[in-house]
Amino acid sequence: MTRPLDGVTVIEAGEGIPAAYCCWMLGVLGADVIKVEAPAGDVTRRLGPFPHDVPDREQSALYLHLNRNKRSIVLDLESATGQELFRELVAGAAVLVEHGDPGWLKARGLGHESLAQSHPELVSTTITPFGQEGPYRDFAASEITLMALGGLMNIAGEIEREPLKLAGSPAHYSAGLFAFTSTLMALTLAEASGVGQLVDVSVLEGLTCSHFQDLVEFEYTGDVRRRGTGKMPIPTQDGFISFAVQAHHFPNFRRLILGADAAPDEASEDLINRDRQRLEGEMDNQILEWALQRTKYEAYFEGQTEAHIPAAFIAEMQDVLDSPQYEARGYFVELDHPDGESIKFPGLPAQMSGVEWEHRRAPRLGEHTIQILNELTDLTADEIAEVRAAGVI
Amino acid sequence: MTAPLPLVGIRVLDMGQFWAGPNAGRHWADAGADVIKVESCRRPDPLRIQARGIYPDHDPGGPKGDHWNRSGMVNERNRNKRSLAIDLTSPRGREIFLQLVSHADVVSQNYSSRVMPSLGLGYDTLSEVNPRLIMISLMSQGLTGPESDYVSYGQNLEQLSGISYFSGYPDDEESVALALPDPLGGASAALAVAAGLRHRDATGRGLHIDLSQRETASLVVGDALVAHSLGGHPARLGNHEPGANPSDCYPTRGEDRWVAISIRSDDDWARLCEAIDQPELMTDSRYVSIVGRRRHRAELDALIGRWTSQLDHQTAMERLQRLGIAAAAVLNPRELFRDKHLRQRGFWESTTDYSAGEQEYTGRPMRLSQTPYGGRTPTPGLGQHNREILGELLGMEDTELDALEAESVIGTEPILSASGGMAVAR
Repeated sequence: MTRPLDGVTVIEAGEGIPAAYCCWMLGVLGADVIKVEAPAGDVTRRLGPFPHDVPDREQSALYLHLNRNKRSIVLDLESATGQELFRELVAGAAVLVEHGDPGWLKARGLGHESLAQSHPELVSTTITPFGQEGPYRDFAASEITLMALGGLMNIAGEIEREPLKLAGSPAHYSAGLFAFTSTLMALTLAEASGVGQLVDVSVLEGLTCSHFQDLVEFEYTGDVRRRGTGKMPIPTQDGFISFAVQAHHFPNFRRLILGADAAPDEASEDLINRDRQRLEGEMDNQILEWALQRTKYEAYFEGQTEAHIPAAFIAEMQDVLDSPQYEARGYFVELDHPDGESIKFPGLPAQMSGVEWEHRRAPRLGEHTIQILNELTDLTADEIAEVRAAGVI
Repeated sequence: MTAPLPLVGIRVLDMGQFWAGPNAGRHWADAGADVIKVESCRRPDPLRIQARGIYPDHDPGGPKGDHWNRSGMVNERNRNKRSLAIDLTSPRGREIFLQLVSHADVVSQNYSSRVMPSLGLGYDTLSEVNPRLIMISLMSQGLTGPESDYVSYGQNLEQLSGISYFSGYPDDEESVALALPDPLGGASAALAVAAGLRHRDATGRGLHIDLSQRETASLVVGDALVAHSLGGHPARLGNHEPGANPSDCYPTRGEDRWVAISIRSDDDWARLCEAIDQPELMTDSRYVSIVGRRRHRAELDALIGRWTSQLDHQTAMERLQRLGIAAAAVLNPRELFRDKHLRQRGFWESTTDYSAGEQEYTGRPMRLSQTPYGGRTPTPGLGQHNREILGELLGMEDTELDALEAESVIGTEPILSASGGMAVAR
């Protein structure tokens, strides 16, 4: 075995981010991931963003990002034939991961109970906005509504303005992480005991587990934290930086900004703790002056290497792609784009000693339909031709 | 048929501190592993003793006077664990730790990159003691590379990852940071170890996992990174969701009360017109298409806002949801704890902590049909299980344990430096 999930076949069904993200990681870790797409293709093929903003289902950056290390089969699950073929695929797999409205597979006769009748070791992971039960089970949801209900919007933004959604889809990505861990644990149990199971992952609950302190603060003290506590980033010559200076960083921070010959500050950590905002406030002008003499990267570098304080800059996409840290770690992987051009993708965030990852580009819609049917079903060439003529694949 | 908790039989030495590290440990503890939270009296988890901690009713002391066991931030993420407080800078403490490593499956740590090697506890040393060990180093920026020993908190990493560039009002320079690299890092560490254990069982060999929280966060903007390399120019979108128009937060009755609404199709729009009692808008050519709704966004926001501001946020949500529109009240913590959906699912978990009394915490975002998850034990007090762990795993007798206590190798109270401060950079 060269990678942790070698030999495990995973069927991915449904649309969107969480199942796709989960299964991308399963794929990099060695699983054979078969992505079942509807004839129109996954919704992320339509959402973009697209190069030069020209829609093209083979060029959606979101799709290309989330669906590496997979094979794609097109199956029309609205048809009885498509449903039967789906059953055959699942029969040859250890794991099914799906994302969608609760019960969408069951409505097509493909719920876990039905699939598990002939395949008791099957692990089915179902990711839904609110979980399989509960009053909001059938509520419509999107990233912004989940952030609202999950309480994160309440603390994001400025108090004089409307609450703010965080960029992108962190709720849906987080759900993919939780799905991965519980799927893998259930799989290991299934292999040891022969008992498969249904893993029910709720996107809302995953997000609710991502609060730093406001929930605990309310439970312990009754205080309700409000938004608007963010500090303005500090402008530099070419972008913005920020510092997260704690009391024990303060003497170094002061020397960094005011210079080595600044009068020593006698304040104890206790006093700094109590008065940090005032002390920092008194330096506002000097901080601004210091920052405007530097680029954002220089300010980050000096803050970290000379003063050893938590300094950061607001990285734009080119900064992230050019990061020397990422470069040194080999974080980005270059993959061929369907057009033949080579582009950079973020890789796994973890390196494992002695394990090499393999990265493969995302599949074109239905690229592996015939190959997969040949491998995992007993259809003959003629039968495959007939199924294709019927529009099922 | 019911299966045992998935990680029963797995032992973790969890040296995690702050958020991401203990959060990873919480996943394993919830899943049944024997997770031992390893701290020392000289260097406890900094959240136990932070200057502005969160204590029950703002009272650090409590009846027992042990404020370090009353920190909400610690108690939230260390349930189902045992606590060992051992001084790893003392030769005897280090020796005992290495003996424990031979009884462990996993060592997890999120110190700054210099700490473990300087304690003489780098991976090479640990794997010599236990070749089957999985070690995870849950780092800000990984163990290698020019920025590996930079100090940071979650919000710094969020800024460096690319998330913050997109997080904010489109017309404003301020960016919003919620320190997502911590929960993302914790969840990613949980899965990396799950995969590592599987690999170990197949190969018989342990491994070292070097995880970068900054990298976990950049994955969340992976689509923007890919789009940028393909010549696109992804921009800050605020409350706008791709493929939806409008999507935003609208004011409702009451002070600072809001409802979030996302109109994701022309059908959604038609139903919204019905909901806000303006059916004539359905055929208004300005708004029928998503393009039109995008162009006339300001007028639409005013129209919708006029309707929402007459209702309370829950009512607005329920009415729109009845028509199948994605809408949600913006909940504050008080409302979130009371929310009927999470209540009915039994999401919140209540524990009576060592010294903080009965409190409710977030539960787990997954249910396994054959494996009943559930709380077992509350967060332990500092060093609460010193004697139990060393007796059980290393067979230590009372006299030996007494001596370790007398020499402050193990203990149950923080020993703070003269200045009263702690080194909390990681």
